[in-house]
Amino acid sequence: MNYGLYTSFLGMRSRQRTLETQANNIANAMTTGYKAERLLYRTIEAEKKGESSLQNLVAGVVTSGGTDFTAGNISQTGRDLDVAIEGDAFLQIQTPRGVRYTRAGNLSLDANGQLVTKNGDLVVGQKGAITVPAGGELSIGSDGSLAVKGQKFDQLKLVRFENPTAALQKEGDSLFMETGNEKPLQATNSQIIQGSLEGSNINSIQEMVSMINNNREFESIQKSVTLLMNDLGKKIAGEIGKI
Amino acid sequence: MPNRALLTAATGMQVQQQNVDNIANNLANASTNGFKRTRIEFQDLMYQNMRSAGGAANASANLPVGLQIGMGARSIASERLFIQGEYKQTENPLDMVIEGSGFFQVRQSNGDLAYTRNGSFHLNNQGQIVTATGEFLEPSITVPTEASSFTVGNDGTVSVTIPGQANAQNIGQIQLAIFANPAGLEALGRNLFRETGASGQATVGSPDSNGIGRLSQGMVEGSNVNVVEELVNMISAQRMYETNSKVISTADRMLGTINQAVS
Repeated sequence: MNYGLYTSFLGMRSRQRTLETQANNIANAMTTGYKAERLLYRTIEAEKKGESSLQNLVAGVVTSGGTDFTAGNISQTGRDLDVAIEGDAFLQIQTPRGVRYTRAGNLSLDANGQLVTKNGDLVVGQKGAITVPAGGELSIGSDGSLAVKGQKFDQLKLVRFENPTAALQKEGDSLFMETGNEKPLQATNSQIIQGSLEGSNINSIQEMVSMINNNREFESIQKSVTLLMNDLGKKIAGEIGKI
Repeated sequence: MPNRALLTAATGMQVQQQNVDNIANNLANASTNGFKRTRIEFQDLMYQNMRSAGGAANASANLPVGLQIGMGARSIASERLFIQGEYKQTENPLDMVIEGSGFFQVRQSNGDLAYTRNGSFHLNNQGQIVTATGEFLEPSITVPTEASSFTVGNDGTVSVTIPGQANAQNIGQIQLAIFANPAGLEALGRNLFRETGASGQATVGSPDSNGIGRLSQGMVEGSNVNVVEELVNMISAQRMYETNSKVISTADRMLGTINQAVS
């Protein structure tokens, strides 16, 4: 087995995955509540051929992903049904597929006056689904309490996770689902800001820089493939020459 | 494959294109009375799970993080923002604004009801109150030809004074409609909206009651488009379009590199 070629292959494949992830981050730079996806490289080791640590060569790199849950910019919209979360809390959403979580606070009312997401999934309050009484403007307090004409009728259910990167995975549609690594906890130290939205946490300049960097790494590895191939070709030619 | 990055960046360019289309419509209607601006909302598309977080890493441990590759973004909604527009005083007795929520009801020529925030009305040759495009205000109100003044109260009561009569004469009351979800209304153009399954059924009532806004005469509601904000949004949409196109050229360069390696 030629370890050099295999190592190069793993290196190139990981750079491809990185580009795909960067493409998704950049495509979602304006998605409300979107959280950046980051790839982590980790090394895998070659099979041990001897006692010498020199022979215990690093054989390559593979990737695993992780969501970066740092906060996005909060911008004012003036719309009553827009909420931004300051802190690490998530809104709880009831979908036909089960419980999901989101940071996208661009909520709506459906024809029955129920508070829903843009996909029509129910936003969960302390008493389950939230029906907003007609006949007044909805005001949402910093603790998520919901009131119409000063009359409190429910409160948004806010949850948090000790380690959201491990506890949640993305489902698309701005939703996160539990991975089973951790149970949701009652949110603390989070504030709801009505009339504002949290943008994505993508820094497009940073993404561009790392994309250029990633591309150059890819090219460098390709160079090493070319060298290895030439080297291999010469060796084979030399061996054949001896015979 | 970098192919996937190409497709992902294409979705990013497509949503920014729709974003700019929407901004163009908002800007074009910056001076349209009663116009409510829309905003495009984005969502991430589905993810390809390469490794599932929470899956078994070995007999005793679970994977703390997985590997998910996303497929890009899409536009999910054009949310109409029913934020109040600016009031402009006109002194024209047939101009009205709704202070608060609610819509004027108008009857289209095909007999269907439509709803509008544009309170700039006119009289037709029969003395009936109509919109600029000829839809009748509902319930229909006819102003007598001999009337010398026309007054609309905060509660929608319409009265006229007729020369030679001491008391003002009540000729009807304007009724307004509210919806559970006004953002679910469908825009018909001509400043009109139509009820849909998403908006819920119209609740009709007198102005200044049950959460319906009150009427003020002699003013019109301008659009709620903020030109500066739209221009800023347009610049950032354009920049994001460019950034997505850079992803395409990078993915293309990677594919080129592979071809070099093979040759």
